[in-house]
Amino acid sequence: MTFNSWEFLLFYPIVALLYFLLPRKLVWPMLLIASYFFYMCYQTELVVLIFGTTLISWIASNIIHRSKNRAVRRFWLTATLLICFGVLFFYKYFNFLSGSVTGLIALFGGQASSFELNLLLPVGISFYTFQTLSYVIDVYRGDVEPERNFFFYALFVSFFPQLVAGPIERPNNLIPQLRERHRWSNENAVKGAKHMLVGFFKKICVADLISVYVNAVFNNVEAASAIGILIATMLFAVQIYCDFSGYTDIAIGCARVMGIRLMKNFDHPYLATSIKEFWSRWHISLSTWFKDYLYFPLGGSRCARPRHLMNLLIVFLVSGLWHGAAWTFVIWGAIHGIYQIVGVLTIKKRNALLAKVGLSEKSLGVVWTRRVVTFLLVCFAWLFFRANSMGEATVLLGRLFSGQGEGLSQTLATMGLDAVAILTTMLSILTLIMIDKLLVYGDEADGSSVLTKNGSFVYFVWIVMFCWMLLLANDMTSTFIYFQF
Amino acid sequence: MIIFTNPLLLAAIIVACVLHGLAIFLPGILSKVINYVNIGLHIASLALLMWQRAEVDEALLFYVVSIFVYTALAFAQQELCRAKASDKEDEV
Repeated sequence: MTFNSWEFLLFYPIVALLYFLLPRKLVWPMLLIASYFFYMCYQTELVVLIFGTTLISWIASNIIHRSKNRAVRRFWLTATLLICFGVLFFYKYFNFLSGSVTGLIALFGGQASSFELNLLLPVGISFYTFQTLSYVIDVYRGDVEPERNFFFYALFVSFFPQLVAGPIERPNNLIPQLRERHRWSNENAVKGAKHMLVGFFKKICVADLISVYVNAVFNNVEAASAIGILIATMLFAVQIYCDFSGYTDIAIGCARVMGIRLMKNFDHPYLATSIKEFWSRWHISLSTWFKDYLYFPLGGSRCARPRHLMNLLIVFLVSGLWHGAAWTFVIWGAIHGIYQIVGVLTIKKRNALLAKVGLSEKSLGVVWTRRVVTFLLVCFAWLFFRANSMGEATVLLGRLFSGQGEGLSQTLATMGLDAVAILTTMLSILTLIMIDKLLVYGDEADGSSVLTKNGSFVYFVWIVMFCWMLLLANDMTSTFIYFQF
Repeated sequence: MIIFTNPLLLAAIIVACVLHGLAIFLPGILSKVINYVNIGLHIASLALLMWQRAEVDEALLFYVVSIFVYTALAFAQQELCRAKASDKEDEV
């Protein structure tokens, strides 16, 4: 079941009710059962994988903690990494690797038939694999005590709000909260409800709406016009943000109602003034994971400049690959890696140029120029992320820069953007910007915002959302983009 | 667009937006009562939209306009409060 489904609307209130009514000893077993049930609604048979990953990481972490022998600790850490990554690699990348090798052989004139397996990609495998590995690595580093109770640890791995698409939680944050007994709190309920409502709004009213227009271009590349590609790419930037951050908001909201605070995963990423800043605002749980467990161990920036730049490229290539088994994702990651490298190499010159022309970094003009440029750079990379294949990405790029195709009005008609659609899209995006600001003010002003004071707003929006769901009942099966990772 | 050309639907959306404004800027219990009345109006609007055979896209636009107006008014009120608060701080 996805968050935007009737089943979840039934499942979640029952779980939340049981959470507050059950005695303390029964709360976390109930959550564990609920989380596994939630996962099994996606793929019953593949629950074995998440169970197996959990079991291996739990055993390894306990052995690592108890052993004084460095070689033994290192062995178990390495074994766990190999097994968990091995499973991830097999299910996610086997067919990609097989196809790539075949292609490479064919490129050099050889002949080889591609060997592909009919594998079902386990939902959330990238997320829960990274979460278990961060746990094992933290135990190895001595940052975390291992959990003695296997089933409690299984709850940490499978906690349903963040199981399928993050945030990728750290044990120090989530485990103590799962252990605590949380009483009902009006503040938690209202804030949780706010997050969930905003998440549903982002997903149902913005992301799903925009996807129709984006698909009209990206699924018909040969006929796409330059202006259509530009509009569709920018709309995709909004779509993916609303889809992913919408999911995260719902996850954070679900957990918050129960008194559990998941980590923030997005912080207005399109307001970033540089690509470096963008990655401190986008998918924060993943970027901090890569920073702590890949970038820093490689040496980070505390090494010679060429090594530093290589580290950046490696991290972003791996990040691209994490997102999907396709060259488009690898190229997307590589583009961001190159952005980072260029950013590091040119920062001094850019600042010197600003100083020379007498402009301050903090002046409104400079800030907004940087924001626009960063947004355009990010959109360029999104083109590869969204393209169905490298071939289609190449066609799109060619058509974009050659200015081919229809004019604006014909393009809008082809995309299905009539007056109603344009108005709905624009109003939804403007509403989203304002809701984001209202939530920020609400938190800053210790709950004195309109949204917190006036509880009937919550009921109002719930009723409106209910009406929308009835209207759009045939669209209820739309999935979240990040489920494919 | 039927929601802006049909008199019943146009009246519904105008009334909803006016009620939003009243709910945001009036105090206490009055605001809550108006909100609940507005909730009822939105539920009734669903029946109205179906009766007038509005397209799904236009029905969605009806609610998007309503949410937009509410959010814009809430945002305006929030900005006014913040401006007043910072003026008071400056005076002190």
